[in-house]
Amino acid sequence: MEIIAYYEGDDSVKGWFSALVTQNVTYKKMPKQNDSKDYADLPAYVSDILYLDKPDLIISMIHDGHEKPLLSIEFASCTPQYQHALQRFSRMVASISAGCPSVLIIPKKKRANNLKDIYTRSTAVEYGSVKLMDIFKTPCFILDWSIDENFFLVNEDDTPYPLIDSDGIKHLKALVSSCIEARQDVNYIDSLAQKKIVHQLTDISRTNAYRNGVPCIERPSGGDKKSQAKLDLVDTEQLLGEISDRSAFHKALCKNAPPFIKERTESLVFYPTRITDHAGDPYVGMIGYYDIAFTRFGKSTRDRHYNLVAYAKDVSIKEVTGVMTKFATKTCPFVDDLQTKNSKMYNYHLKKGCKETKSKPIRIYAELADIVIFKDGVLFNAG
Amino acid sequence: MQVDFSPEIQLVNKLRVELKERNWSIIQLVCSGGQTHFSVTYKCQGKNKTVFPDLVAFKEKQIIIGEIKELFDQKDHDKLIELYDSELAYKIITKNISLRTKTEQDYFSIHYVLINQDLNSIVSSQLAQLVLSEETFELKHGKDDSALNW
Repeated sequence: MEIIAYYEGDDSVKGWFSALVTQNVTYKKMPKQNDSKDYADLPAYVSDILYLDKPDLIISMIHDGHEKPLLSIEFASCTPQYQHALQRFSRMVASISAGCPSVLIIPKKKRANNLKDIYTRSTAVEYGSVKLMDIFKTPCFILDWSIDENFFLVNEDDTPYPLIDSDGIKHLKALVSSCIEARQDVNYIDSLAQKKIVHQLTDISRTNAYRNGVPCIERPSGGDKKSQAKLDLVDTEQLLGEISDRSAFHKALCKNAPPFIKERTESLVFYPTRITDHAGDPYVGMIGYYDIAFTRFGKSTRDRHYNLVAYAKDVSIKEVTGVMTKFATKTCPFVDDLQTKNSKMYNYHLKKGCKETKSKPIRIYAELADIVIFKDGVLFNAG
Repeated sequence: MQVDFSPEIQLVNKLRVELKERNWSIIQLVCSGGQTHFSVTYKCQGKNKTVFPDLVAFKEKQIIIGEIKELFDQKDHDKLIELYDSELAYKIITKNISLRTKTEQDYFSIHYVLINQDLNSIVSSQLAQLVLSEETFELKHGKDDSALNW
């Protein structure tokens, strides 16, 4: 039985992860970016996970001669308040939507570097993980990063990873073991769902997700206080009318809006101040949460109660067209003739196009947003 | 499909091994742009600035704050000099480490260090450098910094 771990290069993860399993683990390089030639060598089961975002570790196993994913692991050593925690949520969405269970390891509380503030983990990330698990019927858990009495992280010696002898990592160890057992079964996810640790962690997740008041559109971070994050549920027809009024060009583009978007009577709107600049942070991380927590009822982006709308009213569409023009003229392998050095990506693009290799913010908005409104244009999901 | 990682990742891996061999306790060691949990916010020309050091480690009374690049990097040099000159940064860093180690704040001295594998790197006046030569890191003292006991 061969276990494979894809990692980003920090050798200390090898000792850390190998301590969690009894099997031998082969460590392989995770491509730094989807447009690098290493990406073309990945098994499709693994590369599909990287379509939307990149978890820190992807664990897979050779089963019946094929390499199939077991689970992905994301480490978040940041302070765990709302936006920081949700920045990592898209990595869980990436993994779960590719059928791979996912865990996010993040402290329950952490002292900020100003040494005065102590932040508590947002209910939102736990609510999002529960919703993600319910929609995709795939295990998805938030685990605790070990902390000391002063709310500093406690790491395993000489590694940047949490203490192995801690509750969160003991849970991870049990989960990995169950994943390996369940992978022997034809139906991996159904078999995994029957395991004791999955039931235990599901109970813990549900308790945490609903502990302080369920997040909702008015209060996306949960609790009973007004949230700083602004979300609006608006009438779709009125919204399309408002967009059309911005310019003749907007109006012409709105006439081409796909029927499935017009047919949803309501739309959930959030207000990013950038789309691709500065890697689209923090909105690129948040859109997955807004989608899963408040619009989605099924695995496909067609399965939505509401349209998901990014209203970037002060942003130029050049943020998107500029990035895509650069991709088309510099990164796209078809710019050059077939050569030895570009043959891998040439062959990859002949088969799959640039769906998974263009820049991350573009991939995420193209996949998840139904409408992206700019000051000088509007984009609609191709469905 | 195994391909070498970037020179900076290899530097980080080798540095982690050597820090361990030399009994340094590591609080943060990442490549540029890696995920960090330790940052320092200080004032520079009236503005708040936050830096995320690639290396934060301590041994006995010494703290290393380091920046890692394959070659000598002037921007990293200037960034560390700004930190070096900031009393607030000194207080924040020493307070943070003293809280973690349950020691007095004035127990520590801080050394700002550039880490690279540039054998021809420029000698800095205030900063020490750890330069990877073969398989070990050699300490190049700054002109005015000879106190780091590596």
